[in-house]
Amino acid sequence: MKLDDAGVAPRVHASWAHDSSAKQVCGEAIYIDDLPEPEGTLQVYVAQSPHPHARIRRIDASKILAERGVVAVLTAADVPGEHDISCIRAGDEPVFARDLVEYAGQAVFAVAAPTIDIARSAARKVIVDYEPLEPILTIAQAMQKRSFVLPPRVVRRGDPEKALASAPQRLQGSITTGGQDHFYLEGQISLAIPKEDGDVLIYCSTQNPSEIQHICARVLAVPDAAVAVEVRRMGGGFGGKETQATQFAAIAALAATKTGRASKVRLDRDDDMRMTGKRHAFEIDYDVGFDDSGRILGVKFVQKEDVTPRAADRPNGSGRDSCPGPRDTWNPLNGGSLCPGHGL
Amino acid sequence: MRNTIEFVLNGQPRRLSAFDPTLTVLRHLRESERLVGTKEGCAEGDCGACTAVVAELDGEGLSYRAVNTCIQFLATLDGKALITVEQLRGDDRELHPVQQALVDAHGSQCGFCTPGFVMSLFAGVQNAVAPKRQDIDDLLAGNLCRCTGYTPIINAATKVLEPAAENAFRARETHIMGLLSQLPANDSIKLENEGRTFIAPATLQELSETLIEYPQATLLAGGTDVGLFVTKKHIKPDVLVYIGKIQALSEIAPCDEGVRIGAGATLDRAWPALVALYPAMNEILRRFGAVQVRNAGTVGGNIANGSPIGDMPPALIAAGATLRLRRGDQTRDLPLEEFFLAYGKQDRLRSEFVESVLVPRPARDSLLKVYKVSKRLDQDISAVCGAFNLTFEPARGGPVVKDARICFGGMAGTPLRADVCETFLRNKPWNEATASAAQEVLRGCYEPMSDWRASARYRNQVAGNLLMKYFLETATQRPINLAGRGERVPYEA
Repeated sequence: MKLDDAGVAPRVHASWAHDSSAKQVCGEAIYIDDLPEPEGTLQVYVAQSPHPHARIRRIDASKILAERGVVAVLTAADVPGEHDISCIRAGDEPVFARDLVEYAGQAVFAVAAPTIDIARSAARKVIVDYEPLEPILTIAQAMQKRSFVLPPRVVRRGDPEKALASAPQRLQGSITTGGQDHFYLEGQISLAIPKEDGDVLIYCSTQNPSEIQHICARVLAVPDAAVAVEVRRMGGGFGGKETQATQFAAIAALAATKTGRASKVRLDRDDDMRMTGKRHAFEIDYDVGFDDSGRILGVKFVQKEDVTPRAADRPNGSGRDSCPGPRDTWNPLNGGSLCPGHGL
Repeated sequence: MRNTIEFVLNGQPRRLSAFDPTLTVLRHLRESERLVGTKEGCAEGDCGACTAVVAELDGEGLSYRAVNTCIQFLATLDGKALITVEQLRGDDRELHPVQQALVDAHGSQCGFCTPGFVMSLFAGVQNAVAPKRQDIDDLLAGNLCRCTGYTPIINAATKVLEPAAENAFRARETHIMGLLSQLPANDSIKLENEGRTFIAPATLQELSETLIEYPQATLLAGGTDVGLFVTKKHIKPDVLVYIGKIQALSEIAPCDEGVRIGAGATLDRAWPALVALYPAMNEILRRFGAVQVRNAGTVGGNIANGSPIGDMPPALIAAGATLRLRRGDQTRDLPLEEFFLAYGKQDRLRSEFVESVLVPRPARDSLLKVYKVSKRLDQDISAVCGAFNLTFEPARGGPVVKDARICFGGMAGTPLRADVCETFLRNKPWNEATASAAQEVLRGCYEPMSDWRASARYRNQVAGNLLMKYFLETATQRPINLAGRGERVPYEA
């Protein structure tokens, strides 16, 4: 390496391999599922609702507790602290569905066993008595029923109605965009290790370890100091492990503190695709006024977002707030709506 | 009959018995061997994060195949060598050129897909894949990366696929060959564990007898479908009968009529033989899964599983292939299309199995074309796959259709011929008016379903469009390529 006159390595305009690259190409970079598991580690299968919208009348896990190897079954009743993992503390994101299911794939209970195969097959034998309710599955249904997660919010500048009315040319229409998954290659995973005095150490694949710590402490009803979260690296996040990792960290931590054994929640791809989401489908109606040269004079958008019924899943604002366009040239009006979709 | 399997793992011999016959190679590597460099991304042979390389004795040397370890059953490694990402470094810990190239080109970010890319590239180096963009794209089509946007990985591939310098791995080949030559070969295997049985007969005769004894058995070839029973549906077959050790079933035999492809021949091995007869099958094979799938999956399996969206049946039915089934000592031949009775139901008797498929030579003055329409170009399942094989007769005023064989996948519960459209076309002049009218007839032949791959309306529209594409390509004798890989060739009248 060539040093400059001051003896400093050139950092700018130089190409550097990142510090994990040699480990990664050799398969020696450690992800959470690669860590040696403490003796007796339990694998936790998170069982989900097949219904988009339903009332839970009863969960009967009595049969499987006698199954070979099943160590624990966790339900909403096993949450000692605040039963909410909403990052904005909105109170609408339970760890496990309590009495109401709000989307297909919502966690209902979890089974902890020495192997994931035992946990998964035992979970199939748990009896959950659902009363299916009529779901809202599309934006059109939600608009018709005026079913919004948060009240519509309007962003306005200038006088869009006047600009539209006086524009020489005008177009109206609607566009839709589909939902997306973040598709990190490494699925959601957390390994929780119980420590003394009810403390817990959580290895979590997350973009937000501090939030995991705070929320898991609330869920467990312990001080923040009792929860340590360690993230060496992730196999990709792309925003999908900012808030969504919390639920699986919390379930692992609940299992670890309840059983006194290290507990791992690792979603396979199918469960991950069902249980997580967040980049939602939009339907955007527009009404645009412009002059004969095509210059936009005024515009009105109504943005409808197909979200899960969780306030923290609100649009990040960028979709709505970046629409106004170049300052002082348009007269924009944005109406945003959030429509809960039980189908997601 | 042996009750163990023996293979070579990263240069060390392994002998195993008493394990679950549905145990995948990936789980064995990660959970028992603690070789955690190989990752699980999807557990369905789609993302390639679990890629490792299988080496087998092949004449004087070794053949190398990249495979998806997530859906390959451990027991099928018997007699083979497995190379994982952990074995590529030299004895002095220097990086393999493939690894160094990825580091130098910034080809890893989160790193989770990286071991899979390393192993696909390693197989490419061993198989002397050319450092051309198209070949690199094909080599890596079975590996997904979410971070890099691929450019740095392709740059690394371009560099490392140049005629390679010596590397530490090459010195290990002799060692692996020595170990492989000591493994038992040509004998059959039976493993039993906790109520599940794995049987690998060594001969056709043994296979026939085994299936008469175990009519409920699940036949296993490459595992690209059966593997998903276990990893996706979480269903474990009680009896697995593996056909991969039967030499006779893997044969690809040119004959007077055309070529006979044994049920156990992989798609990758059958590829050149099929393309020699029907050049148009090249594109469908290039886009059949990706390298790892073609290296394991078989032509026979793609037929026998009865899927309505397998890509080989439409092409083979249009070509006029004949299926040979065997039960005990009895064989019977039937036109391939007659094998598919209804969705999930095939004309296969108890204890009967697919032995081979005979692909005939093209008829004189015929032209077969196969088109695949899918959401992704590579490694995707067809929304619609259309195969057209028309035979023409020269006549005054232009060619006349003498015979027509048209078969679609994705348009019904089985691969299905467009009988009415075929009849309509026979003895008609081959011109735009005929093709236009045939489009309408064709759309009446099918009642496709709507699913996440395509709507019924889209499928019907596309099916007719493909017929017109076939017409335009035959009329101008130029392929039309509006999208995807390769040079863009627009239609020109």
